[in-house]
Amino acid sequence: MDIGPAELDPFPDWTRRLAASDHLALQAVFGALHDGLVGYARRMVGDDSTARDLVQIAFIRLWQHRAEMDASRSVRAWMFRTVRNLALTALRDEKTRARNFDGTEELPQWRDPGPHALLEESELGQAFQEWMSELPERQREAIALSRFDGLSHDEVADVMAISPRTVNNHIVRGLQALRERYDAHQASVLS
Amino acid sequence: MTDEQEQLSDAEQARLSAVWTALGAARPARTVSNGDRDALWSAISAATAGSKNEQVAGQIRPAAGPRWRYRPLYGVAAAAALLIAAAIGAAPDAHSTVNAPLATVTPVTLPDGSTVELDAGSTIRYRPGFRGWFGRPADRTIRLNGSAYFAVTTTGAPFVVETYNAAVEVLGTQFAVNARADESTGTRVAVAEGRVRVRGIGSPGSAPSDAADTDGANADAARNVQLAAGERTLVRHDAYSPDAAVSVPLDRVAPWRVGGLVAIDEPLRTVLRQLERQYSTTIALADPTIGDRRITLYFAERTALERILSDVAIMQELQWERTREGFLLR
Repeated sequence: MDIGPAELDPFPDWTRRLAASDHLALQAVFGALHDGLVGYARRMVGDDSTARDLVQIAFIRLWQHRAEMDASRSVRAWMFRTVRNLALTALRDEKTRARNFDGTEELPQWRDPGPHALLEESELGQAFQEWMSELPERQREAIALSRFDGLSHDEVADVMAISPRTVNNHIVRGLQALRERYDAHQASVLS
Repeated sequence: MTDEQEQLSDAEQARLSAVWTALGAARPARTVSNGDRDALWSAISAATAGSKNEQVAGQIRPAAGPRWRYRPLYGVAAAAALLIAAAIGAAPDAHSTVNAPLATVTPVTLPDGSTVELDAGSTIRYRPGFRGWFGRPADRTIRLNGSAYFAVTTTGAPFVVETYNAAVEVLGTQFAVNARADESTGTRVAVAEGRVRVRGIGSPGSAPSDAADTDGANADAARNVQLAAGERTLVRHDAYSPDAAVSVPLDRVAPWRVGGLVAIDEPLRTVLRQLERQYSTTIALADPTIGDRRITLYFAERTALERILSDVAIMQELQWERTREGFLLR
């Protein structure tokens, strides 16, 4: 099977076809984004079945809003933003149900993906997970969306509703903090 | 927080870039099964097909009742969905991803003109267009799960193949890499032309002391092995350093390119899984412990599966038979 030139970004074409109600384009976007979105939702809400529910809803929303989609805008960012909003709503509902009325607005905590969830079961990977959990939430979120989900700075900005420059600053600050931990770790391992 | 862009020196960028690269080790795994993915698509497809879309809109809430909850509908469309995903080059995340379908060697041209032959059931992933990060030069890093044969164009930018436990840095060349994280195979690298440098990924603290002490002067060099044409190495699953280079006949570098098969002292289980992918069938074991036996096989070109199974059966004193799903070894 000839896959053709892999460097072409297929999203603008899918977006145009989506806007024209091409259901195959929805399936293509699903194939491209599903795993990443489920992983992202799971990081936010902490459990699998809720994560899949949210992703299901987001794709149905995408279909409902297909006519408004603009091929020059990132559908990937639109989907991550939608999942993020759904997750924040779900977490707020969960909190309300738990009668936890302490009045503070919280972003989701970093959910430990568990001992077997790392792609590389490496010591270093686990160390990075721990250091990530110590970062301020916005830095962590910007780094995770950029590094783990492969979003561009513009897309991360769109998802987090902040400017691309602020995204860059969050990432730089976060990486500087991680670098200190990383350098110390490397030094201790080599000594 | 100020909204001013951070001004970074080149040295600072390079150091942050190194952390960025290392941070890849912490990427959470995609633990979504094909069955789950297909089931979710079935649910979405059912909800979006036809003319009832608008009606659905107001009813969906994350905490809604079972009606809109995710319902697994395992199996039916699995094969078709996989083929469609491969045909359109769909990526399981925001990277460019190519999945080679079963029973097919898939040729891929990368953004820099380098070519990859991807073995059946193997996956590569890379940043779209090899786009660099942070204004850095092109990022020619390929993540591989499975087997691939690379012919790399020289652009001046490094070309790196990362597997789950090793990195192969290319110094201008043709070479093959084989590593399956899900089968803990370790990473095998064999070079047909030019040179590559192979290093383990992970903590050097527990590196076995006997590994690759060709350049024992410094700890970093000891974790690297340089391979020239006609050489191969293995980064074992539980090691952080490559074995010393040994020679390999050029026609055994990537036998699957011509439908062949080479196994050198590998678990029978690994070999059978490779056969399953290459021939798109199922080979069951009556006794799972048989899978732990080590086996060495060499078929230079595509050979009838029955013939291969017969050879395996003779060597291992087993018997094979056809079943409805494929084959059974006992």
